[in-house]
Amino acid sequence: MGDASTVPSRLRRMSPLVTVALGIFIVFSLVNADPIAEDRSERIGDQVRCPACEGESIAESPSSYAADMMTYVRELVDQGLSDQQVLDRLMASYPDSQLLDPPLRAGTLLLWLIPAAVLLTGAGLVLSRRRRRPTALLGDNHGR
Amino acid sequence: MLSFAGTLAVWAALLGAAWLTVTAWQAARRPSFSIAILRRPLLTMVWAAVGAMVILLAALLANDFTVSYVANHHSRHTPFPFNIATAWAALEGSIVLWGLVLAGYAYFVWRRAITRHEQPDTLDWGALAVIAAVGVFFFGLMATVGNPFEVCVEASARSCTASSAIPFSSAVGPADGAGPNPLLQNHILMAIHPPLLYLGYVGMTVPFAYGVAALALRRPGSEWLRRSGFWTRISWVFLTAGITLGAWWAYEVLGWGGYWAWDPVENASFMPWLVATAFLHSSLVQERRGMLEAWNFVLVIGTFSLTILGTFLTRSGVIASVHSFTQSAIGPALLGFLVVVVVGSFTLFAARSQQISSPPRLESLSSREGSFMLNNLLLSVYAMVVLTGTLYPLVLEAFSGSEVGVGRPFFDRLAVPISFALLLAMGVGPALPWRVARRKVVWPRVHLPLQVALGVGTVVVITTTRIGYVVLAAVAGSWVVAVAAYRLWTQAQRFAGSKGTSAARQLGRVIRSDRGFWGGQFAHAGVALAAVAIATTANLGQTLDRVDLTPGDRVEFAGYQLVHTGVATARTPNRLTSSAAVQVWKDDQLQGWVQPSLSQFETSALPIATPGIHRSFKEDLYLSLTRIDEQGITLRAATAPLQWVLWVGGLLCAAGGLYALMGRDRRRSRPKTAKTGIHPDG
Repeated sequence: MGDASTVPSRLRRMSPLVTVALGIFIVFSLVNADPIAEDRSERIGDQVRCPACEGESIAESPSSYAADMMTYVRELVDQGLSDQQVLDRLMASYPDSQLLDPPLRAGTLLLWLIPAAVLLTGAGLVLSRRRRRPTALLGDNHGR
Repeated sequence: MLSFAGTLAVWAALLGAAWLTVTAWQAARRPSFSIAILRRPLLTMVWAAVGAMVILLAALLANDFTVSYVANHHSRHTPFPFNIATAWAALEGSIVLWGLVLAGYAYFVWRRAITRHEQPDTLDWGALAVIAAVGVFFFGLMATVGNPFEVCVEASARSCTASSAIPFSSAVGPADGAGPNPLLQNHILMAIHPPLLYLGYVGMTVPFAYGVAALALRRPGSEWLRRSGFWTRISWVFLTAGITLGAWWAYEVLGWGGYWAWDPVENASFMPWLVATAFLHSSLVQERRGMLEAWNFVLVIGTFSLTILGTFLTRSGVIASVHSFTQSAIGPALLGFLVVVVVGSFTLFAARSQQISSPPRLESLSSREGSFMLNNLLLSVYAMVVLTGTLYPLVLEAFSGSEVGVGRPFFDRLAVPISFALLLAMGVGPALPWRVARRKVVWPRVHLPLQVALGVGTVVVITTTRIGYVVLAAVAGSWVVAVAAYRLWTQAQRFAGSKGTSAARQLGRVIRSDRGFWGGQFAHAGVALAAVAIATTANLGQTLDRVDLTPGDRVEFAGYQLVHTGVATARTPNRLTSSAAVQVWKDDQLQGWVQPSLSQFETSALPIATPGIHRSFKEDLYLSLTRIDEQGITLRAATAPLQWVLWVGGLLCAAGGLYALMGRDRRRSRPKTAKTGIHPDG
């Protein structure tokens, strides 16, 4: 039972209350969490592949090409355009494949379905490994 | 001359591997076979593999540009240690390293088998045969399509334009070579982390070989797990350390302050790590409770297949475009090998499925094995997410021609929740006993740690931030650490109670009494630290986007005053480096100097940025240049709070694995020692 006996009993009775209070505080803070102090331009830049470099987004790449594109993004953001509007302007001259966040289309559906399918199959397998209630136990051992 | 010697060594290694495959397999099939005959083919393969690497190094150090690999990847001016690292920095050389590491593993598997207390038997020889068969493929690759020792027969100014595999062709060589990719000669970590990753990658061949041998020899059960456990763990340790140092290298060198970009090359090392981690845990379940026997075969085959897939992805050029990958025949060869491995081993698995015992059922989901299953589910889904995201663009482009990009937003969206779920499971799992967890047993083990974790979260909210991910990471991370620490403390108390000494003195004894468990807990703590650091660097850092500074200018950023004082240039034989001196002030105190730089390599058009980093306990201040000239500099700055914790966490994770390994080894070499320790498994 651990070192519970060394803690005065009154404190010990209080202990679950402390846990609950702290828990409520944390949950409350998480619900009212600050929005991530994000730079909208950075977030948009994260979604666009730098055409001149391999695999990096324009927000990450140190190349001057990416820097120019980021400057353009900042200008558009400063003009008050929404994320989607900025992306639309930016992507007007690029194919969709330059987007690092694949939009949900027929061609990208599988991308989301495969992990989901694995999760569901796996969860099903784990649950089926569980021993049934004692009533089912006899049938269970039958085959072995 | 060196070309001839190298080609000879490669062929000798290939013959040795083939010879070993045949003799080891004979030994595995006939228990009466004298095992002494394995010695000669094994040593042939090992010495030839060592010879190939030595000759390649000699060619590099002697600047022998008549060797095609040297002409294309080396230059007279490549400084130490990068001239050594060039031996594995490019495609053909990396396969030489692969072969050497594989031969090394084969040798030590043999050594371990014959020096172990129990007699080596057919399982060991079967495994050796499988390892040698994998060796046949890689040495075969070297002897044919990936020969680094080809003779250069036609040279341009700085490279070899045509080469011949025939060793006695009349050799010509350029006066000097182009040298390795500039990015690869910028930082010492570049010379270290690829070999570590290879030690991890190639090491996964050993548990795979034991698994396949167990299937082929109809010896499923747990024996193959017990014999390969050492190799799984040591490979996992190498892989963990390699991934950590690789991320560190990216941070120190690539100049954008990131350490992980979900780049296919990074994913290629992360996927086998995820599956190997699942395998480490599920093999424990089988050893303890006899469950998951079939699943362990799946995982070990999966881990090995992913290492081959990773090699294919990173080494075939397929990443840049599916259309470029026919440039080298190595890509198709690796792909073919991958198909053979996957189809072959799963066919064998299916053929033997009758003999794999049906496991006892899980008594309760809330038990140690139940939490291991949850861990396996999460890790498998995680690996599947990374695999899908990495391969999807390639497969789609190959089959439909349409291109799609998958990058950080996709990976983050799925990886973040899975990682948090894993962290929480990591906190609960070690507190649960095997078979069935009763609330009366578990609650006292987790209650105080839960309070500590919530308390840490409260402190974070009050003093630092209310950003959800950071608070959650702090709570989950301290929960993992607190559960383990509290467990340690209560056991030390129990131990001390029976000895009449203080608990603090018993901590070391408790840890030593079950190195496997406590090593695992250290690794968990490492992961928890890494998770906290990932959350803080991603969410609490600030950035300063490109300011132009002339000498004497001062800029305020994140509580620092940065003063640009001047520019210096230095010329070394292979590059021109311009660095900017920047003073870092805080509260009118000079904290230090930072010198971000841009290097212009004579062999590369684009300049390479090397960041300058001012490190402190609280955060890294990360400065990089995008321009430097007579007029001044263009500076990017960022802060990365608790960045150092990530490296500590990653290395602690590897160290924990190493500690667990030592316990395993000790227990195995002295199997009948009286168990004096208190085993935390309850």
